[in-house]
Amino acid sequence: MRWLYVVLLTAGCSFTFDGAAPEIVLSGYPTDTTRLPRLNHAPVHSDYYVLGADSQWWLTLEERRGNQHIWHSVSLFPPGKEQEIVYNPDTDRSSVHAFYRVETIPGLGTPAYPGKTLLRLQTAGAAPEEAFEFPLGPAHLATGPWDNLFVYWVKDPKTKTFEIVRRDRSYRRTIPIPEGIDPEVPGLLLFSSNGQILFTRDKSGHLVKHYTDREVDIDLGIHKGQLMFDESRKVFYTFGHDGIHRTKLDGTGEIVLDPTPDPAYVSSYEDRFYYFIGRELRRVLPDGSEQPQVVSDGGITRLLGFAPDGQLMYSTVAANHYVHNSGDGWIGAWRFMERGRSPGFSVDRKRLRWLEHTAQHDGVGDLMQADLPRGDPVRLARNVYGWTEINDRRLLVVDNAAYFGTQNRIIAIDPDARTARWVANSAWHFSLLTATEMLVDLVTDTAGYDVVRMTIPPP
Amino acid sequence: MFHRLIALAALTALPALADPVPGRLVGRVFERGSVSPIAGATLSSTGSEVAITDDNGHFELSLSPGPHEILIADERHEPMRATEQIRSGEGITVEYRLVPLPAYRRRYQTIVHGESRHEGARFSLRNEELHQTPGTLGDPFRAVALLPGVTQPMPLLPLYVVRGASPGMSGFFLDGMRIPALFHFLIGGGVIHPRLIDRLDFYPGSYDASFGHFAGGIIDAATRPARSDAPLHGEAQLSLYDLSALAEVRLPGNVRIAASGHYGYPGPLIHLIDPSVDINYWDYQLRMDWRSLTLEALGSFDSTVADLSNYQSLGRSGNVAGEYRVAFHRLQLRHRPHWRHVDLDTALVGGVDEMAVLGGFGVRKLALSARAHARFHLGGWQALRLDDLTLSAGIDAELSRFRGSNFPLPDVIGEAPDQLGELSGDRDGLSGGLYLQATGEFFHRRLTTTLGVRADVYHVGQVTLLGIDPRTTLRIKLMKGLALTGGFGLYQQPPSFPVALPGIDTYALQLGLQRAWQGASGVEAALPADLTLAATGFFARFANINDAVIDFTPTVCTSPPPESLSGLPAIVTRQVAGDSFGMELLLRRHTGRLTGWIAYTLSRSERVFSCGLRPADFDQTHVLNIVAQVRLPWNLMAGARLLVQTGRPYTQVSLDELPDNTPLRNNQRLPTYVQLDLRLDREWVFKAWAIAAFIEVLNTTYSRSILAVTYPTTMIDTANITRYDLPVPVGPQWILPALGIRGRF
Repeated sequence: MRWLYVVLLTAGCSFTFDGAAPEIVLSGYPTDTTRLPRLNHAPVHSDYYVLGADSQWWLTLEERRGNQHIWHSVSLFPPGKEQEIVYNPDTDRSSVHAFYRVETIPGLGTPAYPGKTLLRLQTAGAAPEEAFEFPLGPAHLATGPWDNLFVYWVKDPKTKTFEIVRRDRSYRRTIPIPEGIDPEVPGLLLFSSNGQILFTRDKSGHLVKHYTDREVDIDLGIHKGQLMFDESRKVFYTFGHDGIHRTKLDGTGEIVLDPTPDPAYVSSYEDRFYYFIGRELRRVLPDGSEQPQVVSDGGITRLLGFAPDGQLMYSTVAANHYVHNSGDGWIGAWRFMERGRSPGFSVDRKRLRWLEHTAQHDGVGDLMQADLPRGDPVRLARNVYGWTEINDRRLLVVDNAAYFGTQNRIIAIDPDARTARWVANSAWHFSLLTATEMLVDLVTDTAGYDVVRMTIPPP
Repeated sequence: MFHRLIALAALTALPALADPVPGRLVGRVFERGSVSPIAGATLSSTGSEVAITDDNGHFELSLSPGPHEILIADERHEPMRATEQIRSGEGITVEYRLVPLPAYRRRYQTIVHGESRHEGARFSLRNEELHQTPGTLGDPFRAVALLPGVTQPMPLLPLYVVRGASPGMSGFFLDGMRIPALFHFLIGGGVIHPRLIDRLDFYPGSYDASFGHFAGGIIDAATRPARSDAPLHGEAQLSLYDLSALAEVRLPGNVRIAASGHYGYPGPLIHLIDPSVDINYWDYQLRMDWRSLTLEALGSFDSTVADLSNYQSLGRSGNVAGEYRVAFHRLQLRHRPHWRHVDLDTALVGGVDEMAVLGGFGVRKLALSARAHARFHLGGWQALRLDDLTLSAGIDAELSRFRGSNFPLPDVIGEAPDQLGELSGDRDGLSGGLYLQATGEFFHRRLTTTLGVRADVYHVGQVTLLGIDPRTTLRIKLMKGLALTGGFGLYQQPPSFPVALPGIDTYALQLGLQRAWQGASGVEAALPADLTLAATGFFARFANINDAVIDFTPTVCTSPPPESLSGLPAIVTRQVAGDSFGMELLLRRHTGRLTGWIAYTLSRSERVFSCGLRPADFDQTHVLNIVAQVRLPWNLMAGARLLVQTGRPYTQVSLDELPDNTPLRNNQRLPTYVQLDLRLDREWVFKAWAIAAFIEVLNTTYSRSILAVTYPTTMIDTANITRYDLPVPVGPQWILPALGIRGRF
């Protein structure tokens, strides 16, 4: 009858024998984010950093209260200052150092009273500035570096010119729309890094540089294809039907780096351009001192980066084969990734990390790690949306994020100690403020999210 | 019989030696509209002997010369009278065809059907209930939806919730085999030819230990062997959207073969509901019987092609394969020997399952299983008032191999194979079960009780699950026509996809076993006018069950997905606890011109969400099914089915709700759903064949079947905001006519 006793003792039970227990065990308790003060006053739809009038970084939260849309800016260094600006999402826009608000003054529809648009700039933490006047109508706004100047282009079939305006009102000039460009679809409008020059290109490929502080325009000649500027060398490159060309910024000294048609730029590494021509991966020095070299004649479909030892990190799968650019990953003959994305190296360049099996609609995957070279992959976390290595070498990870929801959380993984600590629950995004502080987006409401500032727990 | 005939002939011949020599009446008796001979029919004439037909319907009667009125009678057929002119010393050969009685008029069921070997409260469907119940399109499996304890949260879809459990917790058995699905998509009906189904038992819960691997209700169907009364039987049915056929052959050596199948072409009908969807399906069954051996092969295929132009938003472009496809095939060799005190049922089964989701990725499963069940009849022990004791034992095991597959597709870019998550991983699985059970009948069989325990084990990779389930059932006959029933036990199941699909089992074992403690008690009473009444109360406590998500409001009182799942399983699966309780009433009439039933279920199914215990997404408080069939003159039968059920819950929130004032999940309900189905059958019976026609219209009320509640997305500022304050029910208003003819011989 012993068997009967055994049956009776174990009846009504279930047992799980799991030899595949997680390599890293999550411990600790999450910070009670419900007790942290919210930076927002209403559910947030979007947030971004802006440079305030005090030359410090602020955070602007796009909130909606009733029918009002509000730019709610809060100072971060030091915290405590706030500013709210009501805006019109259909016409107004924000940039890193200015909010652009549009006010329409309707006219009578006659040449004498055509109406006008008032464009008013304002920096976070400062009062609104004096408005600029422009013709009536929807416009394209291209902002220059640090919002020190901008292009205002009225999108109207009758438009013949556009304006370059310096914010400090020191200069304002009008430039004809490049020949052949549809006034309703502005073409290339590219500022130099100091804002002194604006590049435009007409339909035939004439590249023109316009000075933004004087009435000088220089035709650089016809340069079609993909453009790349190197202001440190005072040159620009084109990748087009006629191959790769290098030209000085004054339009002289054009040389051909590779005459083969239709190169597709991929990356630069150790001062060389890497580019595809068809299925062939090539590289060339941008000064033209060497002939182009064939790196791969077809096995490499995508270049993912370069390993610390200089080897190519690549994929044999096209970026659009799977969703979210997922694909395999190789370093030399080592296939470290089956079908993932975002491979990257640790700060000490001794480890490789990536998201595995991300060919799913939300692009999440398992956070994997392998020691270099050719270490065995170890899974650090599942359903990871993003991660960052912080100063103490731990990884801040958004995991449990198979889809957007309250189950999303932030954990801190110590890859050396193989431990993980719970940081914040209901959190789907973070951004580091300092080595010890971060902003965390919390999934708390159906109409948006909350933003809190919290300290990164120590190890 | 020969001696009786001699004696009768002698008795009648002695007084009249001068009478002419008698003549002989020789012939066969068949069922009208069929080639089936009738065995055991009696033929008699006034003042003459009586003959009884043999197994082939043959008879021989010796009659005096002259006219005779012959009475041909059989308990399952209308009696028939025929006048025959008998000549002296001559014989005539005749053939009589009797019209079968409708099932409700048969006093005795002389065909012995396979009986269930399982204990527990169940609803059994047979005969016309299997094939002509209104609201089922003639499909036996759909009749389950009309029974107590069953809710159909999305009318039109064959998705059944049994006593508040998750749909994926219900098990389907056919001739002892586990099969992954009973239904084709949408209106496709069952995957087995209805006329091959001999019996369908539905166990809503609290059944005995002989059923394993499922924690919810059980649908247990049995097919029948080919009829042996004629060399060939056949039938074919043509309806608006499918063609089906069944052939039964008797070979020498009493080898019997039945072959059947469907081919569906519901495209034009489906396009009336949704022009962007196309559906194809087919199935086949082959059954061969010889003595106690049965060889069965069956399979099913379904394909749904949808216009996926909206999938561009998922990052896809170019050709997108919009086909969702499931298929399964089974081959079973079964041996059921019987000795004096022992019944044995053994089987070996091989199977292939396939499922491919949109995008062409899927899973293929190969499985080989074996099982054996034995019943030992040990007799009684009067000292304990034990009239009969039966011991049952069974064992089953399955080896399975799952492979993630990339089924052939045209050029596809933007594929998302990882969306299948754990479903697509390669794995080898082992599952097995063992049960022991004793059934005792006490006190002159007034008390029948079953006590059993089963153990099930599942192993994949490095994970092994073991569950031990004790169960008991009870039946007490208080008096003639009044009985009490009850049952209680633990029912455990490995992790399951929320909806049963081919190729998806023995996966994600790390989630642990799903558990359901189930208890039920009821009363069964025979009432006047051939009515029976059954009332049952039930309770179930669920733990760790894999519930389906049909309400995707993600931030409001939710339940998190299992952390160890990814992709689609993580999105649609919740690992939750909960309760379910309620009451079922069934008033039923089997006999008479008017038959049918009234089934009413009052229930509450709850789940533990982050804001507490709330109604489950599938909860429907009231479900009323009224099924009525009436036999009319001219072989007409008319039927109607009325369904009234509470709408299932959904969540509506306000955009202005503060986090601390989060509304409760499932705080609203969809409108009450009413559906009226009508059916009319008519059969014309000819000499050796018959033809029948039916017309059935489902949902004559043109009610809307709400498949889902969606929440629109609007651009507010620069962000897309899901408007949980503006729920939009999604689903078609539909009406489904079915018209068909069936010929048989």
